Amino acid sequence: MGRKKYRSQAGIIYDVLRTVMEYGEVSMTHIMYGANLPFDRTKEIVKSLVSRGLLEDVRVNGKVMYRLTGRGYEALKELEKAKRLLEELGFKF
Amino acid sequence: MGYWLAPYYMFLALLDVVAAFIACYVVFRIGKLYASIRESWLSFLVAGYALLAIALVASAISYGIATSEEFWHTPGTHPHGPSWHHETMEWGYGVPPHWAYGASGRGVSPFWVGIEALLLISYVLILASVLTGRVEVGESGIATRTNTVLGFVGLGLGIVVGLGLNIASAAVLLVAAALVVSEGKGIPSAGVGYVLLAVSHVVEVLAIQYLSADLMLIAEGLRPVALLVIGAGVGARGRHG
Repeated sequence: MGRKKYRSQAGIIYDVLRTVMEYGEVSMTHIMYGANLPFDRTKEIVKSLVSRGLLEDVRVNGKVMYRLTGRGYEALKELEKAKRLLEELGFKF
Repeated sequence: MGYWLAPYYMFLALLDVVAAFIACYVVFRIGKLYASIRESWLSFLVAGYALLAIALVASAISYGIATSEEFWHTPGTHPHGPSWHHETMEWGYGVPPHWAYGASGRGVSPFWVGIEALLLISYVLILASVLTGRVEVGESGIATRTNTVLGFVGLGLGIVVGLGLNIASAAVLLVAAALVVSEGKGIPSAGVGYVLLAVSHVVEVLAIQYLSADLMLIAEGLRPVALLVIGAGVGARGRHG
């Protein structure tokens, strides 16, 4: 049996926010590949980030897309500042 | 303990202050992140390091007091001079009972038992953040849910209830260290720091067992060093990473 691998919750949120920031407006599928998450988990996290005001959903050509809000951009900056510290505290990004 | 300990006490007080600053930095940086992303496990981390900072400040104050007592009483330079007896709460002659194991000493006085309890709570909070802030990932690297969290929290509580404060602290810290280093990609400084903190509590148990003030000083010296290791790790990554 192989050794289990872990990612930190902060690392997952960081990957989701960074993917959205890189592409501006992205679909759920795009976020799923960018953050390397299964679809149900991606849906759960995106929903939670929208409810916290870090992402907002917009309709583009009838498709639901997601983009960063001002708060989401600030959160991404805070995550970048705290990344090094969190990694030293044992939370893998 | 006939020798003059003031320089060592001052050194320990300074170490505690620096370590408290590092703990405050963790509280500040992670606290700001918590305000942004509102992840509950970050609040455990903030609370854990805040309590650690309070315990370190209390320790620094105690060493400040111990330093001033050394200066005023100078037990090593005037071995037959009057000295304050903590047990009888009066001045007397002869070898003073040492603060490390007297009635007002570490591991005995209600104040220090309170600090030890504070430390244990801070370690449990840090462990809780380590447990709840991680997600198990599958073979492909895709994240899945982990259900080991409740098991570890139960284990932690069992340890707290069943054992003394120091042993419980060491056990909680060793679990946290094992989880933190289990990534297999280098050892984060917190892994080393938590092991040093665990060793400090084991040494403290021995100090109380053998009434050794020397061992107690070593145990208390290891605690701020653990935080310094974390601070140095973050600093080194800043330069090279």
